Amino acid sequence: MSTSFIRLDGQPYVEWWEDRFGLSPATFAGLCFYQRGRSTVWAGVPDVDDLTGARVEAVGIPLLRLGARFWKPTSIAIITFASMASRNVLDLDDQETRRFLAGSESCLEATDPRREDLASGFIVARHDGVAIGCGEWHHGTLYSCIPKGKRVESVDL
Amino acid sequence: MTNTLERLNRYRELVDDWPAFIEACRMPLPTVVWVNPLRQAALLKLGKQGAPATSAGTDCASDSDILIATSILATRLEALGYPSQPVNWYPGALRVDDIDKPGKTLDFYLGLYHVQEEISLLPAVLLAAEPGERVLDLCAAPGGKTAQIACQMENTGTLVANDIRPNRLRALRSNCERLGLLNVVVSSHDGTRFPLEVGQFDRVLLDVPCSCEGNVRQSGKIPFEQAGGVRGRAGLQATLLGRAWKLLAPGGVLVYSTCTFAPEENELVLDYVLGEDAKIEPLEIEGLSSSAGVTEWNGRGLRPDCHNVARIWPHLNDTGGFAAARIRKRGEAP
Repeated sequence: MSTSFIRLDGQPYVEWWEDRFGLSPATFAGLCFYQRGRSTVWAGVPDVDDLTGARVEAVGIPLLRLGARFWKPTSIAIITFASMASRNVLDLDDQETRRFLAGSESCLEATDPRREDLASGFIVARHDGVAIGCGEWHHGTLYSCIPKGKRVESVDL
Repeated sequence: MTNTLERLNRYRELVDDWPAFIEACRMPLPTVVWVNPLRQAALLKLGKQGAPATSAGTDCASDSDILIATSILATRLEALGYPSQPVNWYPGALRVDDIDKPGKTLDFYLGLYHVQEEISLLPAVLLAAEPGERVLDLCAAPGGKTAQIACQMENTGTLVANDIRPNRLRALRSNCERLGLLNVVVSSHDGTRFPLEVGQFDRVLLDVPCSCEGNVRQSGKIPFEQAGGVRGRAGLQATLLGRAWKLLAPGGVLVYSTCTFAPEENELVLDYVLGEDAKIEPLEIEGLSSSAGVTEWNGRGLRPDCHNVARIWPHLNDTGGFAAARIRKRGEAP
């Protein structure tokens, strides 16, 4: 049995996505949840307990990073699961999308109606109805949480 | 380039049209992309076609969905200035013109398509994995073929994608994540010693490290011509095949493939390793031309079913060079 991936009860994580983003628990149906190390929760279909002796490096995709003060969704989990999110979603125009994918911030005007639906913390950044990654929303500014190695400068939209 | 082409002279007797072969080896390769059916809902939304109300992780694409998604991708690439044509033997694949950086688009970032050399799409087609199966990709990095198999399995079952080299493992993991492959387990064993206690698999893909002669069109040279040549890798290939065979369940299918022309790395490896419990099956891919495998090389006779190895010479389909065999293990599935 793999010693590095520990099988978890997925309910707390499924509930977190439902609370924060309004995603139906059915979004995660059929998935197994694992923890590797202290902070990362993974979601994937296979049961690694059926792979006795395998040195496992990854199962499915990383879903959440567990911090002492908050949990942070990964951008790849948001892209994979969160296009249907109904809460804490920010729809970006072309210019904002380019800035977001390049790792830059965007400020929203105080009168921008999109601000009304956002609570401080992690949000789903969306473009043309498609989730494009994890953002962090504080005091009228959107910060991109796309990891440095995944950012794209001057992206073709 | 001239020296490189001279090195290919040893295959003169195997090639039906030598001038066409040499001419093809001098030409650059087209860029090919394929649509990711696991992300079709996002592609349909971006194409303003309306999307089914399922999560992206559980999307299953029918043949007609793939055609629609491919059409949307072609339209989006054309709008960026990259016209394309469908690959006639592989639904969902496009040959894209004039695209220098196919990884600089939003669609690539979102995992809506993958970039892969056209002929390296073949092994997964021959493997033909099905939903719910247990499948092993023993030398998986950088993961294009893994992704094709995961899509065949509709993100169900268990697909173990193994590789030993750390930098290639990083690329493998990155591609699996970007493409949303939820049924993949990445492992990091030396393929020649992949643990038998993991149990047997319904299908095994063995796309072995090789001398890469078939990549001559990508680089203008043969990458490993100084590194022991075709014979230097045959030992590793044979050891990998021996291990892969033990990991294959009775009744299962193993696909062995290389991107090289050398019989020493293809038919001779199969002849050396495979026993009477193996049968190399005849192959026919609609729309793709191939020539038969060799059953004699340098005066040595090989097992007759080596005739069923598919040899893809670059001039046959305007691709890189390739060789592949689909091998069935005798016996009933457990």
